[in-house]
Amino acid sequence: MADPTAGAVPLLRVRDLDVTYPGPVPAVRGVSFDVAPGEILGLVGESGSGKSSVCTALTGLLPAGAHRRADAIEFEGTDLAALRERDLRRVRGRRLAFVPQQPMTSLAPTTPVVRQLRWYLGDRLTDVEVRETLTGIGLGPVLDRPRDLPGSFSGGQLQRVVIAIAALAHEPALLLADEPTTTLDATVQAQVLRLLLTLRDKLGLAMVYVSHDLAVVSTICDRVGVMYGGRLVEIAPVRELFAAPRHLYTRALLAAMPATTPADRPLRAIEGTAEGANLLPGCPFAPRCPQVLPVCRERMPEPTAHGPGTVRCHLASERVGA
Amino acid sequence: MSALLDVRGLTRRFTLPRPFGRRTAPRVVHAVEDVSFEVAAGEVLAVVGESGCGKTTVARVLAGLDTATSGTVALAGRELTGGRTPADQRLIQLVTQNPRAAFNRRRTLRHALDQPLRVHGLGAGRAERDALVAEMVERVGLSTEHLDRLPGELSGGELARLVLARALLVRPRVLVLDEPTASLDASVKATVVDLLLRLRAESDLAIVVITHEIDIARRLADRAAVMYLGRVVELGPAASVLARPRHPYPRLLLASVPVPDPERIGPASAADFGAGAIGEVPSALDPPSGCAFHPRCALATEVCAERRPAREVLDDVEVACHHPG
Repeated sequence: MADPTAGAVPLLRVRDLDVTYPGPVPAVRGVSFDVAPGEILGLVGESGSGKSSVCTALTGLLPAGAHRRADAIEFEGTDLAALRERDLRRVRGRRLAFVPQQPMTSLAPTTPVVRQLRWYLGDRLTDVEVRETLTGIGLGPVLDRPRDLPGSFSGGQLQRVVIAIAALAHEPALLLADEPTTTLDATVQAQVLRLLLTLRDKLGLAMVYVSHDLAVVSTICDRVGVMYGGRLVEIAPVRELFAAPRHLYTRALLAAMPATTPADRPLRAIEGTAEGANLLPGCPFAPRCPQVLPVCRERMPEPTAHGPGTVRCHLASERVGA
Repeated sequence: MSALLDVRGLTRRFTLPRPFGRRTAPRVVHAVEDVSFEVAAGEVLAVVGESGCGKTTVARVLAGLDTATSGTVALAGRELTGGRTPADQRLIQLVTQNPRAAFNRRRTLRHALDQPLRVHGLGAGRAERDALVAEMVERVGLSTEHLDRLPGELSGGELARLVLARALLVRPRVLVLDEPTASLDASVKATVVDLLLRLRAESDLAIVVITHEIDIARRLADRAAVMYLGRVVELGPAASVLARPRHPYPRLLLASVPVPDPERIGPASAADFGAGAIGEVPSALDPPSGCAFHPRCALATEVCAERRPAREVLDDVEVACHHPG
């Protein structure tokens, strides 16, 4: 895929990533993208589109039986795909941090949260620094309950604790966040997003933010990648993507959003389902595409640069301004 | 009375079991406190709020699955008591959140849709029931081929439409939808929203939509009620409540929900979320004194902690706040 950050050295460079789980259906097929230092890249898609698998594959934490193949997964100049598990551990958690979707299952359930914070942050920060930092992100009340176990805190507090550990325990250059706010309420989600952006500003963190929520992605990301049927079908700077989506799936997705459709016009749902899309030899969206061509069913379109973005669609160039 | 559904002073408290061996006073969860609203035929009321605010309990009490501690639910002027007869049960139908969990996985959808007709004795015989089912399935935009399949063979969007079809088959007067789109993918949500709008236009159902998705509520609702810790804090036309709310809680809620507004798309900074939330929704076990929102409210004064604000009419909305904007 053409390098969207041409000129700058990317922090993360992924080329032609495939992920398969046992069974006939591939989860991720030929996904390539870059992340620049300090950049927030959003990955959006529906359930089963492979966005979480991309995230997990980058950490090397795929479950047993899953298989990862890539031409390159270069992170800070090191090819993660070639590293042995032992060497990968020096990178993961230190330079490459991961925030999972479920904060409840990420902390030890029978150890007080404050003691766990000391495990992870105690080496690098003094108690006073820990208090200053956590108070700054609204976690002061957690430190005032030194004996309380994870179970007695709310999901929003735990998610912020997990993010604080991921971002502060070492000096990560890249934070992978897999649906970090999906289980949270709107007012708490706003606090977590604020925390992530604060960390980005303070520490210069880059982020891969996986979400199915286009609205969240539209407000926090610099660039957005759209996944469908295991393929990355379009990647573009966020304003371009929302103002002038090129791929027909992206267009259909935006047209189906209540917030982008005037109240007096019906929403346009996408006919059909994504089922089986991961197995198609051509464009995964072809069966549901309103302008499908015979070639779409036969061959996956090659990535083509359009302005600052990259699209994989046979029709993208003809439809400019359509 | 013009309203079809009339809810007055609805309160539901749950008493928690006493911890073993302790002689403490029983602890009470104030799930729903003094909730009142009306819904006219052909009208959609959205009930909006965050988790734990009591909106699902309201849905369960409306549908007769739970009994109110106090307060009344009346339909067309007649009060429906807690222990409902099957005939009354039929009049208010509840559609639950996850359509995948709403069907027996081992029976066909024909069976699933036939059951309510048999239970309520609608349709004279097999043939008539089949005809009713077929008509309804087409009304929600599916074909009768879907009926011979198992739930696992259908997509989430198709199942969501079939759950609606099943609820509508028994000809209810009121439809209560609990998070109808929460478990659906973005492209499928639109199907369900459009279907609901069409159903509203072609029938005189009163619809109560319980949701935490503000954009879905804006799309569907004529009127909206915002709940916080079991109480309705603001109630009025959706165009007012979900666009220019007067109570600080809905204001905070609207400010917290990211909206892909073409003007505002683009990388944000932390400051863009700076005006947002402080703290989290407190426990309904021990709700704050006075106005339950005061510990998180930027406008709170002494009176907010001391006295619960009464619901007052301000222009076209009712607001329970000492300092409405």
